[in-house]
Formats: sequence, structure tokens, C-alpha cells
Amino acid sequence: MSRNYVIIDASEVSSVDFDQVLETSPETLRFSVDGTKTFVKFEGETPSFLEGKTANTHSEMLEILAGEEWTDPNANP
Amino acid sequence: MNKLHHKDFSIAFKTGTDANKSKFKKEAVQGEMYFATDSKNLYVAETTAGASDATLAQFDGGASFSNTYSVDFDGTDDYVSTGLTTLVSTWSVSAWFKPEFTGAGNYFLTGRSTQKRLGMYYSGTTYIDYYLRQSSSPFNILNVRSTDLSVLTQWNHLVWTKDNATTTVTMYLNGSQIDQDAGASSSASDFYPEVIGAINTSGTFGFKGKIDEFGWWDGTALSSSDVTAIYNSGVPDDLSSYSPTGWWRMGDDDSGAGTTITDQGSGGNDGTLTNGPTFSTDVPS
Repeated sequence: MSRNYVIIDASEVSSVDFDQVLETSPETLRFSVDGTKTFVKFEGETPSFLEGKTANTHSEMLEILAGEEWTDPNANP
Repeated sequence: MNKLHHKDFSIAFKTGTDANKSKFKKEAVQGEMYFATDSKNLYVAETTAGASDATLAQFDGGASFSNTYSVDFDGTDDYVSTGLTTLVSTWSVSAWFKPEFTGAGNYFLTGRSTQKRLGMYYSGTTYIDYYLRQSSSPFNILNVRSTDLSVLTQWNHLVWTKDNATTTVTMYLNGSQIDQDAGASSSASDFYPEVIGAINTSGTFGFKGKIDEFGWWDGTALSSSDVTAIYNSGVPDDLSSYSPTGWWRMGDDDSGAGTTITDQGSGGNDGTLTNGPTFSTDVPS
């Protein structure tokens, strides 16, 4: 089953129903470099709390995550 | 007791759990057999039970090794958390991996907090760097470049070892040594695999692809011959004879379901699938 990825503001984390997404908990979320955004992924029907938001495919999300907003170009991992 | 008869002989046998063979010993007649369905051991009564229990000859069957599952990481934020927290100065990591890299970037098989990480950098076109890195200078403890991109389309085996007594760190790919530093500082290369499939619990620089049969040794630097044997010409085999501290089979001890990766090593540190990695039936064979 294909996955959908939705970027949300960090301030919206409290509204995430973790029973409806594949992320485990608020503590395991991945955040953007500046810490203002995160994302959640789901399979199947769009969870109600994510309705109206842009859903990205896996390949689209990988491309987004490779950008400077999510991967620090100065990082030396 | 079931019996198969022939004009010249009869065969009598029972089945049950290994623990319940004690009942068999109290009533067995010489030559009767007992098959333990859990351990797969076969027992044959050498004597007939009487005042004393029958003496049993044991033939070890043992559950044969099979590998059915791996774990598939989507490379966005998922990983396996091992729960390990203790730095180790002599250690080994063994992992099978099948890349599904989509472009240039760092793809880590394992790491811990903000310090050490074991994995690779793919240029996106021409080469792969394999390394053991840390987050402060000197960044590369081990680093070797390969232009063999066949790795990208197949299952592979990577091993890192650190022998604190000789301050030697070594890296092996598909059974062959590819890099070694005989002068590594002790503290710079202490390690434990906090997560599998990412750099650390931030989920960044995650591995995209499948990982299987992840082994961890606390206090043991595997020898070159150990690595050759474990590589086994590209087919994973039972690691128990190498006494791993951690052995996360990536689904084979958990029926490929749930969110727990049972640790088959001596440490009992069950892993937890975090942020949605999935089980796959694509395994090295």
C-alpha cells in the first residue's frame, strides 16, 4: 500500500493522532533544520486531522527531505 | 505409544515437548523413541524403565536456520531502536543490506546519539564511500571509496570491528577487508548501535532499503576468518555459534509482524520498529 507524507507546522504536533499515522510518538518525529516543521505519514484514507493538507508521495517526500530546509548542507554526518 | 510393525521388527515412538520426555523416561522400553516437537531432538531409550528411569540417547535435531524476513526502511524517518546505552571499546557489527538509494546522500546502517555512525555515502552516479564516522574531527575513522556500483542492486554484507587491545578498527564488505586503521584512538571509536537504519533517533540520514540479520558483539572483535564464515558466500547463517550480544533477525523470530524485533543475542535488548519500517520477504539468499 502506498504511503502519503504530510508536512505540518511544529505547532500542530499536539493535534496529531498517532494512532492514525505511522510515526510512533511526538518524541520520534523528524523536524526541519530550523525546527519549525515536521511531517507524518499514513497509508489508506487520509486521517481527519490532516484533511485539506498537501499529501506527498514517497519519492516527492524524499526529494523534499534532501533539500536544505530538511538536510543541513553544512552538516558533516 | 504408536507402533509400526514388520515381521522382523517394530518401531515405537512418542512425540511431545522436550520437557515432557521425563514422563517417557519412566515408562520407555529399550529401543523406543521420543521426538521433541519443540527442540526437534530425538531420544532413543537405551534401557528399559523399571526401578530407575530409562537411559536416553539424544540425537540433536535443533530447529534448522531459516531466513524469511528483513526490514524495509523508507529512508524518511524510520529506524529500529535497540535500547542499548552503554559505550563499548571492543566491539563488532555485522549487517546485511540491500540499498534502494534514490540519489546522492548519506545512508547510515546504524549509529548512536550525536557521535558514531556506520554507513555509506553514495555520490549518486559514480562511487560509494563506506565509513565509520564521528561527529567531530577527525570525522572519518574509516573511509574507503569504491566505484563498484553492483552493490546498489544486490544484498551485501558489511562488518565493522574494533579491537581495543590493538586499537585497530577494520571494515569488511562481502567477506573481504576493505579498510583498516591500526592506530585508532580508543575513545574515538567506542560504540554501541543505538539505532538500526538511521544515524540516530533524529531519523535523519536514514538508510533507504532493506536490512537483515543485524549482529552486535560487546567485547569481541570478530576475526577475519569469522567474517568470512559469517558472510558464507552471500547467504546468512546461524550466528549463535559466534555468541553475539545482540542479534536482531528482522522479523524471523517475530513472524514478520508487530513492532518488536526480538533480540536473539545474549543481551535481551529487543528492538522496536519506530516510525513505520515494514517487514519484507526479500532476503539475502
